[in-house]
Amino acid sequence: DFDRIRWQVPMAFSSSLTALGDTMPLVSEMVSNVSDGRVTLQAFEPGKLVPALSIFDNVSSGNIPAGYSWMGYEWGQIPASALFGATPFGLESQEFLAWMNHHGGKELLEELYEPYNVHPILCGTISPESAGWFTEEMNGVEDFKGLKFRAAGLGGEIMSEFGMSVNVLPGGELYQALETGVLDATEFSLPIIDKQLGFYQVAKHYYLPGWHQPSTNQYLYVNLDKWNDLNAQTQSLIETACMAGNAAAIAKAEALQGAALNEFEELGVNLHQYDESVLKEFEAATEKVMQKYSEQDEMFARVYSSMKEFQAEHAIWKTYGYLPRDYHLD
Amino acid sequence: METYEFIVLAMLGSFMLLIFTGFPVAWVLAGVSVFFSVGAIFAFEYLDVDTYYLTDWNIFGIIVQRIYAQMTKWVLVALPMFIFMGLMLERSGVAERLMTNFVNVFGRFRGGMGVAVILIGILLAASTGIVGASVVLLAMLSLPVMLRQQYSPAFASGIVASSGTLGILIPPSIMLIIMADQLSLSVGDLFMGALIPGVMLGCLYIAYVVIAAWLKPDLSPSRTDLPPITAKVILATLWAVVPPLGLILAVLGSIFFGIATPTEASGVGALGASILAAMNGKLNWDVIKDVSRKTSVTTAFVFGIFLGATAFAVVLRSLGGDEFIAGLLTGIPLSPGGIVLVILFVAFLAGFFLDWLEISLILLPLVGPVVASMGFDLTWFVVLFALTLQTSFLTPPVGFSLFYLKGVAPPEVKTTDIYKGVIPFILLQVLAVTLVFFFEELVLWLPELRYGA
Amino acid sequence: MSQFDFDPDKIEEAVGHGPTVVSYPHTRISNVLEAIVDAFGRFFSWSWIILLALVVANVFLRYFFDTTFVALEELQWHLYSIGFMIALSYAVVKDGHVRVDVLAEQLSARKRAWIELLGMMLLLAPFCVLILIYAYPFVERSYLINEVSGAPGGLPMRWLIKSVILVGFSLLLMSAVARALRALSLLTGFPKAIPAGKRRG
Ligand code: NA
Ligand code: NA
Repeated sequence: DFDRIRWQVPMAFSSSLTALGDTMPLVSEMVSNVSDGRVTLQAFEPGKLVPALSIFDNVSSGNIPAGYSWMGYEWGQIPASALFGATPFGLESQEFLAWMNHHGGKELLEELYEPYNVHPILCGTISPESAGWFTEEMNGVEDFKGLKFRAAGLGGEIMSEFGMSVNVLPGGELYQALETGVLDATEFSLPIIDKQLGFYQVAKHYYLPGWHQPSTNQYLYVNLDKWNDLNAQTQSLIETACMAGNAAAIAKAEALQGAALNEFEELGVNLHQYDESVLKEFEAATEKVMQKYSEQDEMFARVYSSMKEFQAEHAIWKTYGYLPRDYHLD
Repeated sequence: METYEFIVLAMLGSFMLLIFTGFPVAWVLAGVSVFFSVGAIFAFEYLDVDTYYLTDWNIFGIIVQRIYAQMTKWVLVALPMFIFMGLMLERSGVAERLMTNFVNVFGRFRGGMGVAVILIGILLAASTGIVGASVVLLAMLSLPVMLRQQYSPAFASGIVASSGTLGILIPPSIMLIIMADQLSLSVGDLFMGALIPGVMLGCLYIAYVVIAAWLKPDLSPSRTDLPPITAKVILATLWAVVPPLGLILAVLGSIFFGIATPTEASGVGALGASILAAMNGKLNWDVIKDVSRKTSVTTAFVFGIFLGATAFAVVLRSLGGDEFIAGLLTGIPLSPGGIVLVILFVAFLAGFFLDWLEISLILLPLVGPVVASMGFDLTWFVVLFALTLQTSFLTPPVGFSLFYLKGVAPPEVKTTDIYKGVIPFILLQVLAVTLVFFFEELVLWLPELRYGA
Repeated sequence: MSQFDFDPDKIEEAVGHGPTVVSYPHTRISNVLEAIVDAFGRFFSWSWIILLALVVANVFLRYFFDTTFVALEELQWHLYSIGFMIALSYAVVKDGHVRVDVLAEQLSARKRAWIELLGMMLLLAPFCVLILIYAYPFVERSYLINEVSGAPGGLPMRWLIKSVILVGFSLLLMSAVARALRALSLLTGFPKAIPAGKRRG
C-alpha cells in the first residue's frame, strides 16, 4: 500500500496566482484523493513556513521533506538551474516536456541535483511570460539606453547589455515604483497574473513576446533521502500527479491569456510585439551571455548545448509541421 | 479535543503567562518556542504523541532560515533610517523649537497639543509604513512636552500610540503590500481604498481628543501662563514649522516625484535631519556617535521581537496552529455578511496575542477565497481586515505600538497608563470598522475614480 | 524656550529602565563579557552612518546618472542586517529590550532577580545555543557550494553575510550569561560583586 506520510510542502508562489501558484495545491489534492488520505503533501503559502527563496536550501539540508519552486531562484547556488527554470530563446512548454522526457533533460537534471541531495520533479510548466510593462513606447533598442528596468534572472543581465540600468526591486515595491517613476519598466509574469496585480494601471505599454522566458518551469523538490525511503508505489503516485500537474498547468495557462490580452486592449493598454530586428539583437546578446556562463560552469555548458541540440533538430518539424504562427484562421 | 489542539493552546497560554513576569518579550517568544519544540520532539519520539508536523530537530534549521530571511528584508532598511531621523531630529534642536512653539500656540486650548500630535502622526503615516519608527519618533518628540503640561499620562500615551500606528494603514503601507501579495490584488487599488478610511480614522481621533478635553478638563489642561498670541508668537511658530515641514516634504516629495522608493526615502529623511542639525550648529562628532548608538539600541529591541515572533510563529504553525484556527472558523452557520463579521471578530481577538503579519499570513489565504466566493469585493474586504488588524498594535498583552512606546516613554509613564490610554482609541477603531462595513463606498469610491476599474 | 526643552539623556535613561528595574551588581566575568559586547555594539553602530550614505548615493546615482548597481543595492540590506544582529546583544547590555512590567513592577528586587536569572538561563541562552548549532551547517553549506547572490550582478560570498548570525548570537549568548551572573551575584553574593568595568561612551 502507499506509505503513510504527512509532509509540509512550502511554495514559492501564492496559490492565488492563476496557473503559476495553483498547480501544487491541485497536485496535493490528487495525491490525497488517490491514496485516500494516506499521502498528505500539505501546500504552504510562501513565507508561512520558510521564506519563498530558501525552499531549495531547506529541502537540500533536510529541514523540510519537500518544496515547490521555480528553478531560476537557484541561480546563486547552481548556475545551470537557471536554464531549467527558463531559458531565453529556449524551449516552449511542450518542447520542454519533449526534451526533458525524451532527449536527456531529466537525466541531466537529476545529475545536477544529486550532489545537493535533492530529487527534482517537473511539476507545472506554463506559457511564456510577457516581455514587460513600459511607461513609454520603445521604438528600437536605442530607446533602452538608460531605462530603469526591473528584471529577475538571466533576462535582466541580457537587457543590461543594451545600456538599461537593471535592478532587482522586490515584487511588492514594483507597482508604486512604476507609478512614481522610480522605474520605467518591469517584467513580471503571465498576462493573467499581471492583470491581477494591476500593472496596467500605471504602465500603458505592454511588450510581447516573452523572448526571455518562452516557458516557465516549476518543480517539486524532494529531499533525496526522503525520496529513497518511499516505496515504489508512493514514488510513482507523486510522479504521476506531477505529470498530470504539467498538463493541468499548460491547459490553464493557455486557457486564460487571450481573454486577458483582450481586456487589456479595452482598458487602454497598448499591446506591442517586438519586431524581428529587435529580437535578433536580443538573441545576439543572449548568445554572448550564454557563452560567458558556459565557459564559467561545466554543467551550464552541457545543459545549454543539449537544449540547443534538441532545438536545432526539432526546428524542421516546427517549421514544416505547424501552420505559420502569423497564419490567421478567420 | 485532539492532542495537537491541546498543545497549541498550552503554547499560547504559557506565552501569555510568561510575558507578565516582566522578562523581555523578545526572549519570552524565543524561549517558549524552544521549550515547545524540544518538548514536542521528545513527546513524539518516546511517548508516541501526535505533534502534527513537528517531529524532529530540523525545526531549528527552519528557524535559522527565517532569521536569515529577516536579515534580507530590504524594505525594513527604512526602520533604522527613520529611527535615526527621529533621534537626529531630537538632537537638532528643531523638534524642541517646534514643540515649544506648538505649546505657545496650541497649549492654550484644551487638547490642543494632542490634536497637533495626531496631525503630525497623519503626516508621518503618509510618508512611511513602519509603525515602530513613527511611534518612537512621536513619543520622543511629544510625550515629555505633554507630560510637562500636566496631560494625564494615559491620555497622552493613547494619543501617541494610536496616531503613530496610523502609518500601517495610510499608504504607503507594508501591511497592504503584503496583503496584496497574499491575495494577488493590485497594490494601487488597496492604497487608494485605504486612504479614506485611514484619514477618517485620524479625524475620529481628533474629534475624540477635542470632545474628551472639553468634557474632562484635567485630562489635558490648558495653560494660562502662556504669553498672549501676538504677531511675534505666530511668526516664530511659522518659522519653527519650516524645518520639519521641509523634512516631511523631502521625504514625501522624493517618493512623489519618483526620486526614491519609500524605503530609500527613509535615508533621504535621515540625511535631511542631519543637515537640519548642522544648520542649527548642533552636529558634531559626539552627536553623530550618540545618535548611531541609540539607533542601535532602538532598532535592536524592535528586531529582537521580530526574531522571537518568527520563531514562535513557525513552531506554533508546525504544531498545527493553522488547522486549529481553521477548525474554529469552519462551520459558522450565518449569512455572508455575518460570516465576514465573524472573520473580522476572530482577527480582532487574534490581535490580542499575535501581530498583524502572522494574522495576515494565517487567516487571509484561508478566508480570502471564501469571502470572494460569497460575492464580496476583495479590495473592500482587505481594507476592512487591515483596519481591524491595526487594532492588534494597540491591544495588550502583545501590542507592538505599546511596546515601542514603553521603550522610549519617560519613567513616570506606567504600563497600566498606556493600557488605559489606548482603550478609547481601540473603540474608535471598532467604530471605523463598522462604518466601512456598512458604507463600502468609503473604500471603493477612490480606486474607481482613479483607475476606473 | 528653555522652560520646555527636554533632556535627551533623560530619555536615554528611560529606555527600558523603569524606576523599578533592579540594578544588578557587576562581577569580574560579567565585566569582561559586557565589555566585549559593548565594544562590538559601539563599533558596529557606525553601520547606520554608512547605510545612510549608501542609500542616498544609490538614489543619487539612479536619479541623476541613470545608473544602478545591483551589488550596491544589495549592500544596503547587508549593512542593515549587520547593524541589527550585532545590536541585539548591545541592547541586552544596555537593558533596552522591551518588558511588559505591568505586574512585575509590584515585585521585590529579589523576585525580579530570580526571574532575570531563570529567564536568561532557560529562555534566552537555550535559544542562542540551538541557533548557533543549526546556523553553523547553514553557513558552512553556503561556503562549501560557494554561494553567490541569486541576482546576476549581485554580491559574491553569501557565507560571509550568513555568518553574521553566528557572530550576533555568540554575542547574544555572552550578554545573556553576563546578565545571569549579575543576577546570581545579587541573589547569592556569588560571584563576588566588584565595581563596574571601565567603559567609554
Ligand atoms: Na503609511
Ligand atoms: Na495586540
